[in-house]
Amino acid sequence: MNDETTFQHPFHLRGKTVLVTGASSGIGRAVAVECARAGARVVINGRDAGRLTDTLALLDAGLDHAACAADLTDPPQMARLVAACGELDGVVHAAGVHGVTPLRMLRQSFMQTVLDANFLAPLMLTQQLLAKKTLRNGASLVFMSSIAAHTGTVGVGPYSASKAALEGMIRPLALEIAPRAMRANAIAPGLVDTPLVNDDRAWLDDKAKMYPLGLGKPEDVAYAAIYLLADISRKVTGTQLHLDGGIPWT
Amino acid sequence: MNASPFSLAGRTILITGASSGIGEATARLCATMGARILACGRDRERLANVVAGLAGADHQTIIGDLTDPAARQALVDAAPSLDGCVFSAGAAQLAPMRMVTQRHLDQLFAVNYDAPVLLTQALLARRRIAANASLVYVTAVAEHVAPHATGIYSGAKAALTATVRTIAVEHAKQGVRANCVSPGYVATPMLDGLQNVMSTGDKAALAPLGMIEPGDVAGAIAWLLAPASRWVSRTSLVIDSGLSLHVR
Repeated sequence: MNDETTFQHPFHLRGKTVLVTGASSGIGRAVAVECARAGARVVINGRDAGRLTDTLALLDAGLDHAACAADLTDPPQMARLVAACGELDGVVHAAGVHGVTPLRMLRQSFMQTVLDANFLAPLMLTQQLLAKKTLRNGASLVFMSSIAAHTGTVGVGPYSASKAALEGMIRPLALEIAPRAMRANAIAPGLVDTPLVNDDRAWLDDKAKMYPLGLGKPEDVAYAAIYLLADISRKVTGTQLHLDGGIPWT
Repeated sequence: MNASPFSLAGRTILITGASSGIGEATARLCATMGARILACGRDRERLANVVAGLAGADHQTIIGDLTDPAARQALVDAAPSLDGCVFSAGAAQLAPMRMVTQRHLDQLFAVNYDAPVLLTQALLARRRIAANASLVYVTAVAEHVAPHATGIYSGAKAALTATVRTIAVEHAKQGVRANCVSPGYVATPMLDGLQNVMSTGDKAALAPLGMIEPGDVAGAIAWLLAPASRWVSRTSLVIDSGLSLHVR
C-alpha cells in the first residue's frame, strides 16, 4: 500500500467542484466516489433520491458534497439542478439509458426517449450551464459515449445513434469553449460490469470473451474521467478516449 | 484497491529519448510517481544531467542511438524486467513530396518506425517485458492531419500506430497493454530544430488551447503507464490543444 505522502502525482482534483449525473448507480456512482477520493467537492445528480443518498454516504467525508435529484429529460427539473449546483470546474455526464430494438420494430416514440436521455439531456444541460455562467474558466466537460458509437451490433441502432450524436456535438463545442480554456471530451467505454447490463450474467460472461483484457469495471471509467478532469489534461480537447480492454475493432 | 491507482511505485520503466523534450519530462514525472527509470538517449552529458535531477534512487542510464542494431542489442542485454516502456525517441524533417528522396525516407523511418518496432521485438523475444506491462509510443497528430511537407514523417508515425495495434492484440494474453499518444506542436528542442524551415510559433498559435508543453504529454503517458488505465489498450490519445478539430 502506498502512502499518498510518499509520492506526488498530478492526477488529483483538489480545489475543484465536479457535477456528476447518473450518480445513483454504476459508472456515475464510481465516478462520484473516485472524484471525491481524488479531492474534489462533488455535486451528484440522479433520478432516484434514495439511491442518490446512498451514493452520498459513500463519498469521502470532509468536503461539502451535495446531492440534487432531478430527471434531466424534464426542463424544469434540469433548471432546478443548474440553479442548485453553484460554480463548477468539471462535469461528468454519466446518465444514460439502454436503446435496443431491431430497426423494423422501431417506434419513433422509443427513438425519441433514447435521444432525450442520452443526447438531448447532456446537450441541454451543457447549454444551460454555459448560459447561466456556471462553469469556471478552465472547466472540463466529460461526456459518456460508448464503443457503440463506433461499432455495429445488431439491434443496438438507437443507442449507437444517440452516442454518435453526442460525439458529433463535442468537436464544435470544444472550439466554442476553448477561448475560456474550457475543454470537452468523450469517453467511449466498451462493456462495463454495471447494473445497466449485468442482470443476465451468462450473456455478460459470453460477451466478456470478446475483450482481450476482460470486462471493464466502473472504477476504470472513473480513473479516465479523473485524468480528463484534472489540469494535467489541459491541452486535451474534442477527443474520444477509447476505453475497451483492447478490443480489436475500434 | 489499496494502492493508489496513480502510483508507479515498484515499477521499472524504460524511456527512450530521455535526454530532452517529451522523454525528459516523462522521466521526471514517472520518477516523482515512484518509478525506477531506465533512461536511454544519445547524449551522455545531457542524459546524466536529467537522471541526476530525478526523484528517487536506483535509476539507470543507457547511451546509444537506437537506429543502430548494436545499440538496441546493448540496451536489451542491460535491461531488467520492464513494467513499462516509453518510446519517445523521434525526429522530424520536412520535405515537399516532389523533393522526397530515398535517403529522407530511410532516415525518418529508421528513427520513427524501425527503431521502436525492432526494440519492442527484441524486448519481447528476450522476455524483458513483464506481465501486465504498459507500452506507450509517442506518435504525432500529423499522422491524421499530414500538413505540407510532412508526408514521410506522417507516414512513419501512422505506420507505427498501425503496428502498435497488432502489438496490443498479440500480447493482451500476458496483460501487456500498448497505446499511442499523438501530440500536436509541443515546445521541445525537436520543434526548435524546425524553426529555420517553418514558422512553428504561428502554427502553434492556430491551436485553440495554445502551445503544448512537454509536461502535458508526459501526463498522458504517465496515466497510460499507471494501473489507473489497466483497461486501456490498442488506442491512441490525441493531445493537440484542439489543433485538428477543424478537420477531424
